[in-house]
Order: sequence, then C-alpha cells, then structure tokens
Amino acid sequence: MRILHITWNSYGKTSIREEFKRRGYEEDTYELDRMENHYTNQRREQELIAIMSKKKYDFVFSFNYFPIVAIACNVCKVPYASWIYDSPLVALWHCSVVSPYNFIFTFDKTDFIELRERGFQTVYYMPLAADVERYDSYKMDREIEEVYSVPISFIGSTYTETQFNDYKKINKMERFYKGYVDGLVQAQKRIYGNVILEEMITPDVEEKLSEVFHMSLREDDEFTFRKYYGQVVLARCIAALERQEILDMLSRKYKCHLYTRGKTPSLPYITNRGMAGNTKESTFIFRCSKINLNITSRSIRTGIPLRVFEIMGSGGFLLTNYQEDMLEYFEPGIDFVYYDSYEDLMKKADYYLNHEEERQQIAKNGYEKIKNSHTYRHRLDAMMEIMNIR
Amino acid sequence: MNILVLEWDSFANEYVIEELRRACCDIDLFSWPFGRENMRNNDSLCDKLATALKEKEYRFVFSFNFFPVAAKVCNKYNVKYAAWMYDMPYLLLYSKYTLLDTNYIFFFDKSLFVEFKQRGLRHAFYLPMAAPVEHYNKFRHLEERKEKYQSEISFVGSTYNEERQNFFQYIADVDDYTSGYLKAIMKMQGEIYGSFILEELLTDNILRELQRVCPINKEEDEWETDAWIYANYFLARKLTGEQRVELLEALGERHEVKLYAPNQTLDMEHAVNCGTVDYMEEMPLVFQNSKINLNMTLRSIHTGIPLRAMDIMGCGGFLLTNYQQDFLDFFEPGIDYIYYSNKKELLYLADYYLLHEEERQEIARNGYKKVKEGHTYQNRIELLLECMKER
Repeated sequence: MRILHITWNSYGKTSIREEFKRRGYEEDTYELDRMENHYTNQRREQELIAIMSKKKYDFVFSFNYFPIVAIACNVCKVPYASWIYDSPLVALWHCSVVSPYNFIFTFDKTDFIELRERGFQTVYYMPLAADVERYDSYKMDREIEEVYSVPISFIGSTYTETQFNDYKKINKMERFYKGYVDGLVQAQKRIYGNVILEEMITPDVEEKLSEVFHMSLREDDEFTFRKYYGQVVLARCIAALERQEILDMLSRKYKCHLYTRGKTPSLPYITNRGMAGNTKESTFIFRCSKINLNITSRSIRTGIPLRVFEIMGSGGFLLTNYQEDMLEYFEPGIDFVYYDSYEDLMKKADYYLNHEEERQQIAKNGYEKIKNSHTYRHRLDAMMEIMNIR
Repeated sequence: MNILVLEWDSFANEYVIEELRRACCDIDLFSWPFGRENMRNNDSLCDKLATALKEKEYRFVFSFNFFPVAAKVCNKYNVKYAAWMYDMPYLLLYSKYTLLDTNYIFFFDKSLFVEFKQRGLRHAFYLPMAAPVEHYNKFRHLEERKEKYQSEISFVGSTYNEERQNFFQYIADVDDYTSGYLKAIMKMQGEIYGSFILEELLTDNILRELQRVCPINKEEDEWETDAWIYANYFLARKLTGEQRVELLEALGERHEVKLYAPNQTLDMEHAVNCGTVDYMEEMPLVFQNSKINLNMTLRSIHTGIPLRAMDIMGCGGFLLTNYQQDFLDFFEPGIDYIYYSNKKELLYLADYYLLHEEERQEIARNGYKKVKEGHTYQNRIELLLECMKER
C-alpha cells in the first residue's frame, strides 16, 4: 500500500504516521503551509499532480480537507481520504467536494448529516481517536505525580483575545441589535446539544453584523455569512464566556490548573501553568488530575472533540459538557460524566471529588472502551473498509 | 363524608362534583368570587368561609386552583384544603400560606410538583388533568352536527393577542437594547421544547429596565420574583401566541386549518379563525371531527400535560403535540400520540399523518383507550380521596 500523506501542523499527525508504519504502508509526505491559499493555487496543484503522475499512490490522506488536493486527486484519479476534525470547516463548502475521488471522513455527526443532505454521497461519519499505545508508554514516577496532581484541570484556549475583539465589535452595533446578539449568546449558552444560532440570524441582523464583522466570502463556495456569524463568530463568543465563567466558578472553590497559551488576568483564582508542552505532558496531566474538564467549543455541534479521546485514552476521569455524539459510543455515568448546566457541573464536580472509587472506576471504564475500539488502528481499519482499497 | 367545594367558573367543575358524589361524598357548594374579589387579603370572604366551616363538619374543602384566603381560613379551623392546580403560571401559589400543613395541593405539572415538594410543602401530589370520557362519548353520534366541525387540522386555544391577555403591551416601552434582547431570547426559547430558559435569562440589567417600565406591586404574603412574573406571564404568553400563529399559518399553506380562538377579530392568511367554541358542548365535536388535533402548549406550562391534550385523546381524536415531558409518564409517543420538537418536524408529521389514515386512526384509538382506562375524573378523584387520608 502506497500513500501520499499531505502534512501540516495538525493534531494526530504523528499517531497516524505510526499507524501507517505499523501496517507497513509506504508513506510519502507533502507539506502544506497552513497560511497559504488552499482553494486555488496553481503551483501547489501542479506540484501535486507531478508527484502523483510519477508514482502510483493507492490514496492520498490529510487531516482536514484541502480543495487543491481534491482537485489534483480528481485530475490524477487517485482517492483522497480527508479526516476532518474542525467544525465548521469552511473548505467543505467549496465546489470541489463533489469530486468522485473524495472520501470525506468527518468527526461531527451533524456535519455528516448536513453534507449528506447537500447530496454528497462520499461523506462518512468518523469520530477522532486516541493513541493509547503511545500514552501507555509514558511512565510515571512519584515526582511527576506530585507536579501534576490537582483536583481539577483544563487544557485549552480561553479564547480571551477572540472574545475581547469580537465583543468589542458587537458593542459598536445599534442598541437593539447589540441587545439581540447578547440575547442569542446568553440563551445559547444555556442550551446544550442544539446549536440554533444560525437560524436566528435574520436578514436584518445579518446586515447589521456585516457592518461590524468584515468577512470576504469566496465565489466558489457556499459558506454563507449567516453560517459564519452563527457557527463561528457567535459560537466562539459563547465558548469564551462559558470557559471564563466555568473556570472562574470552579477555581473559587477548588484548586484548578489551567494549561493555556495566554495570560488570564480575569481568572484570579486559577493556577495558569502555560501551554501543555506535548502529548507526554498532557498524558501526565490527564492521569494526575482528579477531574479533567472538557468544555467543547460551541462551533462543534455534536462531535466528540479530540481532547475527550485524549483524556479517556490516558486513563483520566472526564467531566464534559453534554455533547450528543458521545452517547453513540459511551455510557454517561459509566465511562464518563456530563453536565448540562452550571449548577449540574458544580454538583457533579463536588460529588466526584468526594467519591474517589467511583471516579477511578469510571476513568478505568472509559480507558478500556477507548483502548478496545477507538484507537487510530480502529479508525484506519474502518476507513480502509469504506474506501475498499486493497 | 361532607365536602365543601369552592365553586367558580372553572372548566371541569361539574365533572369533579359528579365524581365526588359518585364516591358517596355529600357536597356543599360555596360560591367563590375568583376574579371579582381579592384572593389574598379579604376579611369579609374569610368570615363567610369561616361561618360555613363552623356550621358543619367538613372532611375537606376543595377548589380548582389555589387560594391563599381559603388556605388561611382552613388552617385556622384545622380543616384540610384540597387544591387541584390547573393554571400555570399561577401567581396565587406564591403565597406564604401555600406551605401550610393543612394544604393538600395537587399539581398537574410535574416540574411544579417537584418545585413545591422541594420548597417544603408537606402534602404535595402530582395529579395530571383528566378527561370526562363518558360525557364525550355522547357526541359521537351527532351526525347532523358533524359537518360544521370537520377539518384536516384544528386547534382550540388562544393566540394571546386579546387585550386582556396581552401583557406584553405593558413592556413595549423598554429601551432598544432590552427590546432586542427580549426578542432574541424569545426566539431562542421558541426553538427549545422541554426546557424553560426565559426566567434565568432575565439578567440584572434587563430586569432593571423591565422594572422601570412596568413595576410589579406585591402584597405582603407574596414571594415570587419579578423575573418569574415577567418570564411566565409576559414573555411566555407572547411567545406562545406568536408561535401558534406562525405554525398555523405554515400548516395552512398546505392543509385545511381551523382555529378556534377567543379573539374573533384575528384574521389569518392561511387558516380559518372560527372563533370561540363552548368547552362542554362544542369542543368535543371539534376533536372528534378533525383529522389532526394540535396541542401547542402555553410555554409557561413547563412539563405538564395540558387539559386540551387530555380532552383530545379522551374524545378519540388524533393528537399531535409539541414535546412536553410529562406525557412520557403515561403515554407512548408514536403509539398513543405523536409529538414534534420543531417546526420542520411538525410540518412533516402533519403531511405524513394526513396521508396515513389507518395509522392515524390506530393512534387515536390507542390514546383514547389509555385515557378511558386511566385518566378520567373518576380515576383522579379516587386518587385524590386516597391522598386526602394522609395525615
């Protein structure tokens, strides 16, 4: 089996390469720069076509989806497997998705259904995965345990900068529309499992938003302003508010470690430990925290974020917001625990900090389930079967 | 066994009295001035009720809904007071006299039952509404009156734009920001069934503005919050009315739709407003002769099964309702009734069940059977009498 792996600074790159290697696949890589134009880029297209005409590949693989790769694969008649882990991914609204050589694997069930409804048959639902073998290889000792042990921890962005900038922009809107947008954000914040912002952006609201948020849409894709505002801009505002409020609330009551890039002056009680260095460090964090939080960005409608697989695959105890796709594979209260309001979150945090055995049992159950069915090996098996390449 | 019934102009009063009599109770009626007199502080009414309680020994006093004035007097004379709630929201429930031990309060809405149980009401019971199935059966053979009420889809209920019902007009003068905020949260709540979020969404700044425009005066025994009042009386009603019109219009674009609303002047583009119907004499004919009967619950009823839904099933009508949690305690969706959880689903289900007559009739039969066997006033009164034995 010979594959061309389109690489970029993505998550999961190392793990999937390990899996290719383990299977004895012959892998060539082609590096993309994430800042470049991936829609129309003659030079890149020609390079890709040249590579694919020199050597016969069984398929091309990338994390997320790149129109230029799809176009080149279409020209060379080579299957293109893209495994999506961002949502919404604007590139999926590009006209190149119709290519019959595409195999689009998306981690979000709602995105999957939406794409199927738009008429694309070569789209499949493929949750993300955990590299359990790798996590298992990181051995702990007492010193490590001391460094990372804490009641509650969270790894991820607080979106503080985005929140700040986006909110500042909303302040410039006329009072009525500012009120309307605030109302949407506050309401959606309290609703889990159903992202309905997009439908709420009526034409007049869309017009007012476009006066403060400038965005240029490409002619060759169908991603609308409404989608952009609903699923990206406002969804991020909510995630920012939510993370701020949750972390503030929890850190006033319990010792909390936050691993994030920026400074967090608005969270005076939290211990900000900077970015988690690498997979090794995050494995230690997940194992040593009594509770690992997952607060999914609201732009992900039902999908299971990568963080969830990493936490459970490391043997950590997971307390997450309600996220529908999780129920397809995991049992709440058995493999993980979810909350569906701030009140519920505080109650469950308190409960599981005080019930060590239950907590450990749940972490163990989650770990076993991941190890047995949700590793990169399982996913690649599934993809190969769908693509039916031998 | 003597029972004193506080009689006011409520639906279903007759049925309760009939069933109490059937259970061998002796009923005295006490004309209750609900809607005309103060129900919290009213010395002359207290005296009158006290006189009645002194004259004769009663096992308990019964009323639909709850009245602080009655609770106070019953407590004083150590007589049990049975109140069967069927309005929601219901302001008078938030009184310091609600938690008295002589009160036996029966809630048709489970969330409200749980709320008051948690607040410490000793005798709180969950008692859903019922349907007088025997009475409704009499209407089945009125061939000559059928035609007038035939329709593909019909809905009996208010659109809340009658002068008396439209509380939203009192807060029309809020500033632009608040007006935008309220519009957004109502639109969002409109998409969500099964969770009432309007009250907690009234943040301090919004509340201050509402209080500025429409201050709320309370009597000394009241303890509900302003946010509760604005959310349940002002916003939930407005939202319910607007959504009822929107959904009926959408259905009316494809099917014959009849609305039976108290507001006769309301004109709809795609639906026929037939005006009000008499609850006892006409409504059963509507339910029996419509292919689909809609229930679009008033949004301030957070989980309960509205009376309308019980009546529809009790008449043998096919029920298509919004998602409402308490149904699942007694009925099976897809077997006894059908629910929708958004506009798209509603339109799809209406199309589907108009085309699939046999399925529709089967579901209506199942619903009818279940109500007949377990949800008549006889069933409820038996249960109520049992609960009244509790000390």
